[in-house]
Amino acid sequence: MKLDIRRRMLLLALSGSILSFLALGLIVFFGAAAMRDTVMERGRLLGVSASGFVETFAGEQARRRLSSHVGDKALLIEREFEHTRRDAEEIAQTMNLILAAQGDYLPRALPDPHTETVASGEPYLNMSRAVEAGGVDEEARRKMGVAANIADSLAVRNRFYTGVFVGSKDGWLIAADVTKDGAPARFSEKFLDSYDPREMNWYKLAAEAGKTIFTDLYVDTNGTRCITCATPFYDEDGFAGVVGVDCNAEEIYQQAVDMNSAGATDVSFILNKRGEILFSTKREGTLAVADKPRDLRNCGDKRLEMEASAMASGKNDVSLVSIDGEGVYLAYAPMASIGWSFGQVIAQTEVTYPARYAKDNLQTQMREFAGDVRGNVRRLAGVGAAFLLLALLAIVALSVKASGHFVRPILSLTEGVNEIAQGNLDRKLDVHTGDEIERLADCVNDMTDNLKTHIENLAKATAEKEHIKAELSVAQRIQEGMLPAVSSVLSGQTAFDLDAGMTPAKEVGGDFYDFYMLDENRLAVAIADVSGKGVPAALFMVVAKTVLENCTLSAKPEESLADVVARANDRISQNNDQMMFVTVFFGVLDLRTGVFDYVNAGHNPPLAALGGEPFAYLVPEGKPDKPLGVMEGLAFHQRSLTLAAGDALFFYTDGVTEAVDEKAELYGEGRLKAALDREVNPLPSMKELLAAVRQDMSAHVGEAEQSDDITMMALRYSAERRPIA
Amino acid sequence: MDIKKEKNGTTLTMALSGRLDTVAAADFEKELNASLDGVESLIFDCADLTYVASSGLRAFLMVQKRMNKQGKMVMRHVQDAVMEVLTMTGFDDLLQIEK
Repeated sequence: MKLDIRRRMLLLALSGSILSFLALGLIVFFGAAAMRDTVMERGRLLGVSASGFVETFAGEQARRRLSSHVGDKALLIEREFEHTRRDAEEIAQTMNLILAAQGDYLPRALPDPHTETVASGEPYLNMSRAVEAGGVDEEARRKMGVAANIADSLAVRNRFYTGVFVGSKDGWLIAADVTKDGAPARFSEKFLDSYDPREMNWYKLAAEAGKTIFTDLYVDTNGTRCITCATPFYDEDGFAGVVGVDCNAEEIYQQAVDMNSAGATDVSFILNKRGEILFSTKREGTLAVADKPRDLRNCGDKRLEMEASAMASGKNDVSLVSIDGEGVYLAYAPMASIGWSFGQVIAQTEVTYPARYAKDNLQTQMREFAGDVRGNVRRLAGVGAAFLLLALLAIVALSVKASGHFVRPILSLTEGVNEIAQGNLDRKLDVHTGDEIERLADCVNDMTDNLKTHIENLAKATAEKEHIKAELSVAQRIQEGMLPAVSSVLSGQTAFDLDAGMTPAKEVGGDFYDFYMLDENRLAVAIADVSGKGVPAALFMVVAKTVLENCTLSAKPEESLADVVARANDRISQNNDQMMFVTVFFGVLDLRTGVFDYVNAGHNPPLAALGGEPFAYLVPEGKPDKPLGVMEGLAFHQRSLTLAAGDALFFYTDGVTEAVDEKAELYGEGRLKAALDREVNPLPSMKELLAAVRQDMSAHVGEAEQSDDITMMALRYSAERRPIA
Repeated sequence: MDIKKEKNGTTLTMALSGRLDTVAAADFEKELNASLDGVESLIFDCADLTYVASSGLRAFLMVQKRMNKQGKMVMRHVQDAVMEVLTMTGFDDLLQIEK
């Protein structure tokens, strides 16, 4: 079943909007999904690159910080040693000055630790028993006394110094020692008795080098890990001894370590030129200070060995190495003056911690962001779906209303047209939609008006036609009434047999036949065909029939039949503007003699069956005469025929020979003659003869419509005259 | 019936074809009344005219009568069947027929 317009419009609107919504929804959905994917992917990449960047950056920062750290510390330590050097050299200078100007100084006595108490930091002079035993002359004593003036310069200037001293080539020592607790120095006899500076390592090194040197790290008598800065001094004879300053290296190192820290896991250490770890914050492991010095450059770890070599050779770098199975950053900076390298180690994890933290943080945030995006997209989808549903509901409601709005005029139109179709032509469609439907309604209204007018006209015309038809019917009856009845001539006589009949093509025809007795011995017969059909032909037929009869009946004895016909023609031709004409076969039979006089005015030749022979057409020799009415003054030819008893004549109009079958084939003169000849031996009554011809004709014509009047008449002469009663 | 007209100055040629029966005769008459003003020579080409009813004869008679006043009328190529009717009714005398 087809949907009605309302449902179709509804369907159209719905499907249209649903499709567009779906398209929109799909776009939004895929857009959001694509956006989400892009955001997530971008976020992931951003996280990766940012964390990578942070990692790199933090690593680089850590390296710089480490590098700067170790640089600072190395510098700090070196500066301390530089001070020591300066201090030692200053003392040596002073010694040089004193010795160069011995005359300017008075000999000075200093406490002898063998016998006197020496306060912490107080200069004293000591000589080993061996030196004393070797003999010290006056000059030497004077010189020693002058040299003792250096004591004022030996004041301990630095908290790291544990001792400042001057060792002479003569074997004596002037020294200021600092005790740990600040109490007076306590020397063992053995120490004082045996101590000869010239046998000391620092003395030998400086004397040998002839310039300022630093000793290796050693443990002094107090158990302090020290180094000594030693520098030679000179008198007028050249080398005169060595100035030495002991420093607490451990404390300097500790000060540097304490300065600041690179991190919780850091390890600080100092490596000397031989690859040995001198100090370390580490108590155990590779970087701890070994009891027995060992070379880090041969530790077995190639990478670490390489770095240790770099450190030992005074290089400056930060690198990633593995120590004791842990990845660490190793930073180092040299202390050129003493040939040490300050190293600091910090766990890689600690360095990369900020990077990892940043990365983790970033990734967490990205995950949260992605979650937010996902949530938003989901919310968007939810809101979109809800909106879509609402919009659809609204569209359904609107469509229902709109389609109702559109369909209402159509329904009203349909109702109105139905009413009109029921026959109410006064019904006017009242649609004012201003669109095609209104135009349609206007057209229907116009059509109804036209229909109404037309129906009225038709009714009028039909009424007129009915009227005319009725009149024609009357006219037909009148015309039929004008044709004579066969009984009028047949009754009371046996001299001839006659029958005639006419079948008009329309209600009134233009054919006619006529017969009447001119007197008791003469029978007049006529058959005629007026040009055209219908009322004009019928009227003309009446005129022709009447005129011919009148002329015949009023004929003078001397007038021939041809004269009579000529007179009738003149009468008919007068005032014949319409050029109506009538073909007439007119004959008079003398019942006494059987003589048949006739005139053929343009009519079809009749057939005659004479002496028992078949029928033959009565074709006249020479030119036929013209129909009546064509023109006045025509002459007609009279012909004559003598009938024997039993001879018959057959008259007809062209409606017989020109009757056509369905294929427009004429009945024709041949078929007519054949039909008549079938009845010749013996001839039936004239009534039966006509019936036979009619039957043969209808067999030919079949269903075809009759186009012309069909008129026939048959006459048989008997010659048996019944006496008149 | 079909009528084909061809006018050349004052000469009008009408080619008639089919059956000139009573119905056709009325149209034929109307056609003639509308076409004959100023025509001095009227020619009917009857080569395809197969049948003439008495109404047709009357129409020919009328047009002959009119053309007698304003010029001449000729019928050409008349078929035997039509000629037979014309002969039988003696119209071959009244109408100008060219064989």
